[in-house]
Amino acid sequence: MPGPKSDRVELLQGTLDLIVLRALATMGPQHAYSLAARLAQVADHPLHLNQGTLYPALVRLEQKGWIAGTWRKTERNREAKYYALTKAGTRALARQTARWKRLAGLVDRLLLDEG
Amino acid sequence: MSAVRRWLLRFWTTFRTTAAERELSREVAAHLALLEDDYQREGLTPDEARLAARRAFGGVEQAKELQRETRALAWMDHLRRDVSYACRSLARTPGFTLVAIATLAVGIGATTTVAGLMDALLWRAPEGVRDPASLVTVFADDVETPETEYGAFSYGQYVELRERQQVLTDLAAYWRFQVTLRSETGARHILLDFGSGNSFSLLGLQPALGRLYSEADDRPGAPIVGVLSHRAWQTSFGGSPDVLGQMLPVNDVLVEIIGVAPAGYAGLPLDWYPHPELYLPLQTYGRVGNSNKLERTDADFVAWGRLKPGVSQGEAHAQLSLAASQLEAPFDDVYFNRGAVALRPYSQSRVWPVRRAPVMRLMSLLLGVSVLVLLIGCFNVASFLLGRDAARRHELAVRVALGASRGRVLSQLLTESAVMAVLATLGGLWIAVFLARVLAGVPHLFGRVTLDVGPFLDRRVLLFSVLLAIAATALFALVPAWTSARRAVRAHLQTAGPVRPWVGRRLTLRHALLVLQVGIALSLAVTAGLYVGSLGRMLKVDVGYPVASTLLTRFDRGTMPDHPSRELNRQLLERVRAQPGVAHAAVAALEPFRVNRFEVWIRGQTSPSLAESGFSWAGPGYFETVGIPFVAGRDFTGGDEAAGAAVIINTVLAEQLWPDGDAVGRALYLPGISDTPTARATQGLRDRVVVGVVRVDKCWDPLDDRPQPCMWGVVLPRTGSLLVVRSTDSPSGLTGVIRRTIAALDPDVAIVSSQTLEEYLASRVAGPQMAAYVTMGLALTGLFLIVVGCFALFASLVKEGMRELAVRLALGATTRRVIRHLVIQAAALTLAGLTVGLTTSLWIRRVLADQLFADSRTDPTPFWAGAALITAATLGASYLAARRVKRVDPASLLRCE
Repeated sequence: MPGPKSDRVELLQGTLDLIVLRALATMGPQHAYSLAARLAQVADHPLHLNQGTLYPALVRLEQKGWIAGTWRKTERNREAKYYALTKAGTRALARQTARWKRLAGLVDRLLLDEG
Repeated sequence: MSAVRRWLLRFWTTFRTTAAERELSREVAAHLALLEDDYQREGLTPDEARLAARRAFGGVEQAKELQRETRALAWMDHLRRDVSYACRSLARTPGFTLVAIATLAVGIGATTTVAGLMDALLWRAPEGVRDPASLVTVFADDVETPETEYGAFSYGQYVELRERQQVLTDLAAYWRFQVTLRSETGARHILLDFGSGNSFSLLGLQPALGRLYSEADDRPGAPIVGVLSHRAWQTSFGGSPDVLGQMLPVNDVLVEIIGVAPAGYAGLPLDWYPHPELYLPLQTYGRVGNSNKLERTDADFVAWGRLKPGVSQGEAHAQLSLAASQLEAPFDDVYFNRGAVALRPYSQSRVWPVRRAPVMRLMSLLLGVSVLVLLIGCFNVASFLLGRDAARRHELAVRVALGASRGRVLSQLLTESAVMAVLATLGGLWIAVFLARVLAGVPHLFGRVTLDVGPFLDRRVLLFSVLLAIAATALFALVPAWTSARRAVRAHLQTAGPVRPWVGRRLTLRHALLVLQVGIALSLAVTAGLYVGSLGRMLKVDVGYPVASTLLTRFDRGTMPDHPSRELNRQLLERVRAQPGVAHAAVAALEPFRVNRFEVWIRGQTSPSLAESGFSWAGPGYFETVGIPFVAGRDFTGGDEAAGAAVIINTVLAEQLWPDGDAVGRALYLPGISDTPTARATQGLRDRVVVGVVRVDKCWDPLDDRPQPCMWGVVLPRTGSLLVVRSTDSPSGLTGVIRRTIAALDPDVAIVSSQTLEEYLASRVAGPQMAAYVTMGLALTGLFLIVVGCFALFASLVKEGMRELAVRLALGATTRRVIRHLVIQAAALTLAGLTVGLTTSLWIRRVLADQLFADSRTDPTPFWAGAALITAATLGASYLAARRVKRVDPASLLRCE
């Protein structure tokens, strides 16, 4: 993989899940490839994200019942598995977002105090 | 919720990989296709686009693996894959797998059988007994004679002790008795337990059918009711529920069946005429038995009770002994039961405590021997595994090269061993159940102990065999797996490796294992040989008269009063003597060598003239029938019977009492002979006059060479229930004749047993006989395992050394020389093993010495015979394996270099 290690953004546990949920909430049902592209797009840093690393997150979310996958045709007539947010997923997104914000706020305050 | 849902799905997916795997492949393929499309749109050629898509996606397999680990439970998935890999790789070498599993199964099976029997005999409570840990058996302990520690109480003593004691919730007692069960097809002899009314409730047993008797049934005058044993219900009544309410004719009364005892229950003792078929309340004894034991001082009742909560066994012992010392009921002056009690845990007293130690010793020995067989088996499998390492090194190296860690390789190899161990354990359990059933069918397995152990595999035995299997797996699997995994990491992918000096010439762990195995096998062979030799000598012992042509028929005349008995005996002898093939016939009370022993006194002396003399009862013509010659005096006559004071003594007794001369006409008396103080006063002290002297040296133990003084009184018609017949040639045809004669005379007389004197004497050496057979079987198994192991070792040495052998053969070596080299190597290893084995065998012989008969203790035969057998086995096996050298084709092998 290109680039020195320090350039990589190590995703916090659970962050990827949150990003995926958020992307599905704003963009509607997506397949893995477009999710990967979206992930690369939103990152400030180029995420040296192996496109395949998305799969554990997808299977984890699917098993939790937060997203559901169905096979459909793309506009270019390729088959792909589209993931959509379920109702439980929507609720979970709200919860996770709130939790993330609390956590981020806490870390911010800590960093400010030190600085 | 979602966490639970996810865990369940992961668990589920672990076992449902096919669908998940298909879905994943499809999704990744779709992903790659979309990437490819985008690259093509950017202007790349299809080939370039495919490559670029792959690059962008990253490692496909790594991604899939990450997803797999997330979707399923990783450790379980690994385990599942290891197991299925293990099964596949074991199935690839079915011969090896079968031999290894069978080897282990035999060892585990033998060990589990012995452990299970040991548990059943020595520690296990009967099934269905509530809280067996708080049950204690109460024996009468005589304070004045230290050797009678585990005696019994008289009924009076029991009743009084039950009232006086305060440490037990209750005290129950039983007396086992033989009765005649009459039916349309003839009379049959059965055992029954008379028990106090609280017997069943104290044990907490539940009936299999109907109800069990209770205190209400145990009153004088209550209707006679009985409970069938489960076994009798199954065999005699076909397990039918109609049995309830049936009236059984027992002796001269009818017993109403009110229920069936639970399956695992067979009364308290396993070693005293086992398998009672019927359980009756004690108070019915006076009506069922021929006299009322409840009114006498006979010490026949063994008691048991349940400790009150919080009372320790020590406290109970102290309080019960105190109570026993204050008993007012008269004590038994033959079987001494004065003043104290001995307590044992109920489940540990099913074999009489005195007999427990020898049974324990024998079973421990068998356990040790079977563990040795298992050890040989484990070493065999370890050696197989080490040998297979050479063949699998390449496969393992590929796995390591593809990224498997040493830990993964190790766990795969260990999983293979574990799979074998699991299969071997199942096989072993099957063998154990089978063997236990066979052994339970052998009468007099441990002398008087016959097994009625109920379900053989209980939780404890299962646990034992599982622990055994784990220990065995650790023993045979760890070292080979570790070696293989280490080598696999080191070797990587050298296709063939350098031509190393032939392993056949270096000493490896496998050689050391063979040496150990030979050593163990010799120990086994010597143990078996010592027992077999000892048994052979026991069976060949000359008792002084012929044993093969004498037939002993024990019959039971029920409750017949004296007069018809006398008439019956007279007519019986008359008719039997008239039969063709009968040379002599007589009546006696006890079989030869079954005697009571009493002190002998002579009038006017202040101490016993002889501490111990055998005493038995014989009818007129007995000595002639058995073949014992008279040296002086005369035989009993009809007249002696009435007076009852005549005795015939053997030459040993005559020489000890009257060394100076003729014994005939002299008098002696036996204070200990009568069972009640009154009878003792009148009969025991009256003089008995010697009417004859017979020449016979042994009368209580055919295996003991010390002098055995003995005498016979004249048999009373009522007690004379052993018909002794000497045949002119073979006694086998006589059994039926005698049976018919007795049936024609009185259909109510039951035949209890019929066997030749030879068979009777053989049944007395049943314990040693079983030890001999079982150790023999185990030693042969060990020998067979050695053959297999030795063959496998040399076969794989030849295989490993193929390339060097090919070079040697190409350079002019002959196959004969190579074979000779290998066989000499086997001989050297065997010699080393025999040296090891000799040391342990000598030690084993010292340990076993007191169980061996006479000069079999010093007999060298087992040593050289065992050594010769083992040497022949290893040399034969190594020769057969070494012959495979002939299959080496130098040209084709060397071409590969």
